[in-house]
Amino acid sequence: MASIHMNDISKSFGEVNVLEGINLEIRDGEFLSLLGASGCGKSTLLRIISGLETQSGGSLRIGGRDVTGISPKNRSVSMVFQSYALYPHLTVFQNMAVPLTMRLLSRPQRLPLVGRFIGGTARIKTEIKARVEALAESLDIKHLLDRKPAQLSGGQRQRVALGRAMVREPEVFLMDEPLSNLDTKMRAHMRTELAELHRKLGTTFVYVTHDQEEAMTMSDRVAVMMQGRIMQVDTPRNIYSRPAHLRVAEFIGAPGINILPRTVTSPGVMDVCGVKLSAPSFVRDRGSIGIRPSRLTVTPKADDAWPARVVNVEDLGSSFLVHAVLADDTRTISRLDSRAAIPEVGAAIHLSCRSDSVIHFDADGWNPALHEARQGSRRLETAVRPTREERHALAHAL
Amino acid sequence: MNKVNPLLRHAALLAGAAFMVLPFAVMLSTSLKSQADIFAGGFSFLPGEWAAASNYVTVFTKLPMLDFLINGVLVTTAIFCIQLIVAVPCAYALAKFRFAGRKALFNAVLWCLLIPPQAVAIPVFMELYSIGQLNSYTALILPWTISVLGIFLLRQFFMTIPDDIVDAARIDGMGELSILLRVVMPMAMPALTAFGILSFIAHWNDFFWPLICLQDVRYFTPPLGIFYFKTEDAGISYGPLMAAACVITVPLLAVFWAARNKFIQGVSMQAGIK
Amino acid sequence: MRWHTLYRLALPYGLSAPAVALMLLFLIGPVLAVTALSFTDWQLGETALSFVGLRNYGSLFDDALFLRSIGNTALYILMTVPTTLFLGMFFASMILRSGKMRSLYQTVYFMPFMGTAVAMLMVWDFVLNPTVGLWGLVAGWLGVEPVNLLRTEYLALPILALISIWQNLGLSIVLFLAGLSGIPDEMYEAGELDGADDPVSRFMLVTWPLVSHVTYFVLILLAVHSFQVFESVAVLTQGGPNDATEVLTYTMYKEGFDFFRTNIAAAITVIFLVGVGGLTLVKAMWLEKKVHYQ
Repeated sequence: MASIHMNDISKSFGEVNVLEGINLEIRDGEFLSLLGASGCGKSTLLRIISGLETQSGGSLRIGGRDVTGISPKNRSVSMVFQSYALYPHLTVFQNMAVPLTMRLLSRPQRLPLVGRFIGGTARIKTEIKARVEALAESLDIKHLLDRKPAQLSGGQRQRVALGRAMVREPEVFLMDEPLSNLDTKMRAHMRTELAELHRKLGTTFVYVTHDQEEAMTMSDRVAVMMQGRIMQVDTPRNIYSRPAHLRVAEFIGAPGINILPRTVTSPGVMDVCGVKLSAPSFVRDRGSIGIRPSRLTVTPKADDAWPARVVNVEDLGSSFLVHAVLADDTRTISRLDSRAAIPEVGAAIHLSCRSDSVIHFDADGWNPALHEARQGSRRLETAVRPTREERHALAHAL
Repeated sequence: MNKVNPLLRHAALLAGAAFMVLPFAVMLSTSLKSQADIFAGGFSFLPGEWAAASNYVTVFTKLPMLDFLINGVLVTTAIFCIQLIVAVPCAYALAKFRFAGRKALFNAVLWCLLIPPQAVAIPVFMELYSIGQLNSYTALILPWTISVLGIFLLRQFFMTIPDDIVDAARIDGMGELSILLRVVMPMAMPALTAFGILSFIAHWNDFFWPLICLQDVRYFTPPLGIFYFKTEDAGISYGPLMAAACVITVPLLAVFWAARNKFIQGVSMQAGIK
Repeated sequence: MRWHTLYRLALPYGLSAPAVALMLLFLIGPVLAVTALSFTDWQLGETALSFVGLRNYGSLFDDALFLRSIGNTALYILMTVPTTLFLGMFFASMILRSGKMRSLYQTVYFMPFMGTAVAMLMVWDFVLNPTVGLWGLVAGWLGVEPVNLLRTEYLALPILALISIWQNLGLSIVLFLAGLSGIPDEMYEAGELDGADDPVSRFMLVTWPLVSHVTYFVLILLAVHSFQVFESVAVLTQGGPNDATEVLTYTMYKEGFDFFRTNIAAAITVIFLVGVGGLTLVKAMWLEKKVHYQ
């Protein structure tokens, strides 16, 4: 059991900065996902935690111990790889036994032929066998122990890789996109299984993924990463409904959030695509608003509703997606309940949303509401919040 | 080509195959004939007068043929073992480590691939002369302990081993040398086999270098041994000469037949095609 | 920096150190040394040497035997390489479609490459013997005079070329087979739909372009191989008759290790190196291209 504490971690390969100013505390027993598009630095961060890479700057503590410069072997972490990385020349049993053999047996005891004559070898080997078999039993792969990885299906390999990671009871599990090589059905199944496994073991999980569905369904908290920085760390619900930045809002949710430009015309009033809406006090100047498709509904004509024309309707079975174009050519998507009245393509409609489901973004993309709410708060997440200069730099970079 | 009549195709292939096998057939048949039969006017495949026993006995009694064969096995084995010990770690470093100078080292390997063995004969001869090791096993083995082709082949193969597996081994607690011995080497068996086969063919057959560096019959390898036999004998006792050729060639061909697919794969790997 | 980090930094250097040392000692060093020697008057056993500039090269190009040697080597390459290449491609494409017999044919054609070269040359010497060898028999069937082929000036080099083709055809076939079996059947089916339904247009449209990289590799490999011809000359003809089979490596061997004119041998080596190096450089560039693909 261990917490992980990262303080100002950075990593560069030559001229390229892959990670910058990473501050993150992962609590003991937490399931935390690092979510981001490929190339955002999430895998590098995971590899730094594992010890496979060394950070260029900053410090890293696992379970209160500074692990900078400590080899992966001595970090009490284990990792599940995207490709599973099973040893192709070893059987399932041997694969799962490797972490124990390497730790429990001394170097001379590991020697072929000679090793068995050194005192204690036989006893330790019996123990290893018992532990591997017990674990295999619980993972339901006991009947596969004599096979080679090439003879297993994707799902079975996945379980073996999990087993190899679990067998030595590490304090932290690291997972690098472990489900992305499985088919859709198997992936959904393993998602549930991983979440249950986490509850059962109560160990810290750090899970890297580019798949928001995986991150949102399994995690206690999600850290959204972009271009080597953490943009927001929060619960899945908050990430969805209270994104800290426009880019986070756009990244999360399918179909994507509707973004409409807005201008504050007078105190408490803003203009959004030709419609006047009330604006909260912290919203100033120009910026944009975000409305989730499920919150943008078809209504009768009203002052706070946008006139629009339907250009396409998609039937998803349980709901409909209505694609529409506003008067100023802005495109929108609304998700309508299948029981609602569905407009036809070409129909003139009106769209509106409740003011409490509007998400505000400043011109630089940050969410001012979150900033107000967190002012003065000492929660760690706010440490992620960049300074004014950094906000500028970031907005520029993004 | 599948529109060509299959019978015609097989006829052409069989004719070619017959030409390929012909010298082997002549070698075998002549090794069974007596001297009188060979010179009894005109060639025939079937021996008229058998002298197999005396021919083969001559090879092993008048000639230290057994020593030649032992030398051949000893030298090729030693060369390959040392080549492995030198090339495997270097290829592993080139394939799986990032370090300053890696690119330069790999370029050096590529450049060294250009050097034909005959080109370095004179300086290497002088090097061995200066340490007093000409005319010895050392002279036969030492210059070939570095195989840039081996480094190149293995490096290419190691590149195909996923980094994830090496990382997994690190997390599982293996040291770098354990990873090399327990994970990378077992996975690279096809490349190691190919390397072994190429090395063995090259050094078992080598004639140029032993001819230069050896005087003492004691150290002769099979190709030099049979050459010595022919020149000593003025080349007319064809029966024993062909028997000697059989003794040198047939074991190799037998191994080749037994593992022909591995051999052919190994040779193809040289071209980086497979 | 803790010792684990330091160890990982030093490790690759430690792993490649033996290879680097041996490369310097037996490959790079000797090439530099032989180049240096070719500009001196040093001969084996002497204690002093002096720089003579290009004199060794000058005397070589005045030497009729050396010029003959270069000409013979070029002629030999021209006789062996294209023949082995095209026969290899021809037989490979036939073997590819010979079904169950494929493995057998491949193995039989590869046998000469596996036979110990010097021993097989002894056999050829016997086969070509006009009185007791197979050649005598064949000449009788053909009704021609069974001349001693290896002692006939205009036939000796072509005969050596024939033996080389016999030896290397299997290699060429095996490499082409590897390339040809990499062509997916769909390519031929697509070609057929596009109208290439006879063997010739099929070959021109699909086979030739798709094995061109193999062709290129085999061409260079065989050329380098032929450049280095030594055994057959040393065993069968010793450069004769009348210097008709004098080739570069053999001249170098005689100068260096028979006459002990090390400086001249070194100059020949450098010329040889430039020739082979030029060819292999093309090959290495091709290899590097392959490397970049990965």
